[in-house]
Amino acid sequence: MSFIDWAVFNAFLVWIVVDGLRRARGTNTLETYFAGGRTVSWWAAGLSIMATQASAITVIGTTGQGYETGMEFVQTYFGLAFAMVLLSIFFVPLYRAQPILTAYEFLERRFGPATRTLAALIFLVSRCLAFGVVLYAPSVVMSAMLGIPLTWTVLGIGALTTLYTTVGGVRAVIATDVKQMLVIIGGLLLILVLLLVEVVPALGFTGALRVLGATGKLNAVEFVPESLEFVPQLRGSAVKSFWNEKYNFWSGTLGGLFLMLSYFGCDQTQVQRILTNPTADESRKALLMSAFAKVPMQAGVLFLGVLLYLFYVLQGPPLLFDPSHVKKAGDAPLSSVIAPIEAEHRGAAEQLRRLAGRIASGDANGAEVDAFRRAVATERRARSAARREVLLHDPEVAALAPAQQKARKTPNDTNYIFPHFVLSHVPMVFVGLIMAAIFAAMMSSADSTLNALTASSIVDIYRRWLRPAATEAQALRASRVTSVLWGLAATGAALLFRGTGSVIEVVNQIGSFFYGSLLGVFVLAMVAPRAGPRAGVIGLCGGMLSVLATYWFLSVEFLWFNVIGCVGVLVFGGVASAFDRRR
Amino acid sequence: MSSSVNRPPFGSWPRCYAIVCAVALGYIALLYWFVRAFNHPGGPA
Repeated sequence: MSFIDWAVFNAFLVWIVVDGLRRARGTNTLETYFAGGRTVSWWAAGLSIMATQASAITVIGTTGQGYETGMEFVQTYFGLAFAMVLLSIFFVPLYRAQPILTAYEFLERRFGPATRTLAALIFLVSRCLAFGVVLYAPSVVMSAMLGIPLTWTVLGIGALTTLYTTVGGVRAVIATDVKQMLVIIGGLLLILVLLLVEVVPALGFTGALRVLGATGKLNAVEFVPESLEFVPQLRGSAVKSFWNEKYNFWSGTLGGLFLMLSYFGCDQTQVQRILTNPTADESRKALLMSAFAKVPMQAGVLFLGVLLYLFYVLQGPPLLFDPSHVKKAGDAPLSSVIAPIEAEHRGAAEQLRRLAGRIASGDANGAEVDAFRRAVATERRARSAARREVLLHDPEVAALAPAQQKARKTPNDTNYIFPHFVLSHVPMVFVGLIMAAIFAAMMSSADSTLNALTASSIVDIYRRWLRPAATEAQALRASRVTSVLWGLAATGAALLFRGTGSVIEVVNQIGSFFYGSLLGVFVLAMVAPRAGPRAGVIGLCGGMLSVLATYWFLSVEFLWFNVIGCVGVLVFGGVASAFDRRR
Repeated sequence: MSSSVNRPPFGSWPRCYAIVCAVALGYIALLYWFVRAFNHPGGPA
């Protein structure tokens, strides 16, 4: 990055931190620290909801996903609008009927302290680990791309976010989220314009779509599932069932509906946003803002990734995107192994560029289109083969037995595609802005998580169990100390994640184990008015056990765990409630 | 960041919810048309 880009980037960081610190004025009670005094307008809360969901991995990972597999991921969001409507009708009145500060307070009013505490602990454990990933995953990419040591990147972002969140509370979180979201949208629009300026004059807009269509990357809706086997298969089975498919209309709409209901309705990170509005109607508007904006935005981000692919088809795609892979591939003896792969890749890339022009103009015959598709597959295979060789030549992996080497997964460089484009092809000044957008996405998720973790720790644990008689000033002081501790814990966890790719995958999946069950216990509270404290705890545990049993015994995609957890709670909670009534 | 505007959008909440659902279905229909019109991974480009 040039000096000017660094200046733009640093100016953005200073602006965000100063703006966050300014919000400390008037933040002198738990009500203002965690609910902003219930004075936040719907549009600010709505933008904060979107910014909280848009992590840096959403920006760099989703564009990378568009590049690699096309637009199919957008289907995960098909259930979002319907979830927001259901939340507005059923959840918002529950949350806004009482002046609660966390979602789990509602559970105590309905099921007693055990269910509330269990739900709060589930949230704290799963979110704390996820918080470390929110800081770590993009830091790895950004430190590799910018040449800053990983420790400094994690410490820098962790410290800045903890500073303004601790001082300013949720007001600082929402005020900075609004600005961060605008920077994210601005950065993405800028990239869209830059890509269109490169691609459209070369191929024409319809021509560009024709080329992308031939690659199959415009696969935004898939109604017909690949498998019509509706009986879930046992874990380890070679047969794929309907429940194994990650991205199609059905899993996106139904599985996505439950995921979004759980995330926006039961995760304190998001629920806290709708507790900051003056009225229930404003909370509804904040939720519905996402319902309108999220699908087009997500489709737009994925389309950016698809356009990025087309850009590299015209420019010649690199064999490796991760700078650490590029460095290793240049050293002997790996360089001699990579050379033939590179030659094959170069040949495929040349063919792609030549045939893309023919397809775009509509002059390509069937044989040329088939040759183009073969070149797409060859280019992708060569990239994967090169990454595989980089892995196998790693001293640690090279020392393993062949069977162990075979078991190692080929490293993925999807998250490096977008930053590679920004740093190699975006003009000066704009690079600083785009980097600011990526860091904005990182901070906007981290600050919300930090404040939500603090809110639940203080309201559901400290004030409920440890110091019920604490004064407002003592509780606020404890909140600030807890916020710093959570910031330190997450930063420490992020640093511990170094070199543990598989751990991160597991952490990302942890949320799926609990989310559906959390949703289930809230639904149980609504649909079973006679269900008591025992039903709440048994239902919650039963839901989590249902998900665990499904994970151990059946081969089912993670999106469906939310449905299974929710149904599990209703079944176990319902049965426990029936027994309670009989006694 | 406070706001005094506190009316349901589009006249009433039921109408607002209906519009949100209709728009969501409209997005899906638009994307489906887009896929049918341009995405041909196995057929003619």
